[in-house]
Amino acid sequence: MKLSTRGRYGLRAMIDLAIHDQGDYVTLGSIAQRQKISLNYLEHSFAALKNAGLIRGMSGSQGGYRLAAPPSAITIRQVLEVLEGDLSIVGSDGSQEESPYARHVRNMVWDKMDKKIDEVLSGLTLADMAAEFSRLQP
Amino acid sequence: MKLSTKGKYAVEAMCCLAVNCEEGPKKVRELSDKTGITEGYLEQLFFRLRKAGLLTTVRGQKGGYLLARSAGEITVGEILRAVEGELVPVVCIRDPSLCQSAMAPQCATRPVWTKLAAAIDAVADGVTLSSLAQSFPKEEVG
Repeated sequence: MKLSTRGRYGLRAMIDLAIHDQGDYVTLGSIAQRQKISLNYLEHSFAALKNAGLIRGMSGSQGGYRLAAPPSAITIRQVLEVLEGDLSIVGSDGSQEESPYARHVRNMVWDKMDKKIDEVLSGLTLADMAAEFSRLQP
Repeated sequence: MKLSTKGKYAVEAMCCLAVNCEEGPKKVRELSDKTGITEGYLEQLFFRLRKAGLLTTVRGQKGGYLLARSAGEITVGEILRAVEGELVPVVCIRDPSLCQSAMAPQCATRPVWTKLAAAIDAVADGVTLSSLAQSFPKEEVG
């Protein structure tokens, strides 16, 4: 089980945005530079985050991005769900018929894991992460 | 973020074996019939599970696979690690030196991944095969 680069980099960029969003639009270039992530890579992620309504974008020379809500109102779960898609630990098999064993393991194990993962990610906001980042600065 | 099919099928197969192995060793064909997992896939998984000391084989006509230990001593976490390797969502959790980012010393996201890994481990290590077998709906045994 692995979290993708898209999820990891995108979250770091959102934390950076939360820190630097002080009323002005923040350019994606400045986020890419500070976080040492390729701009090209971030453009895709930020388009998705904007579509999901987590950030607002403005084009033009004064343009860039801002959070669509206060950092304390945006959870890590919301961000990762946009970047990673469905966060459940095993995908639903769709139309495929589950064996009684598969159903039982799903009820007893995977659903419990999903619930715990959800608790962790819903319990953390961009504000928490920004505070953590500031704490780590030299 | 997904567990591989390997991990999912390995737990299902071990659950099936735990439910059904009281009357003796089970053949791959029987387990395949019950779980819907192909025999070839089961053989691959069982090779790893045997290497990890979770399964044993019994030779002969009545032979097949058995749990290597009592079901109460085998956890879902052990099964998953045997076929998936580490359960961590991001490699840096077990070994920070695996992070290639220039930002590693100021990484604010690693604590999230650490918490995520702890949550996944807690569930995986808290469920034993005996608890899975005991809670398996009786009318579905077969």
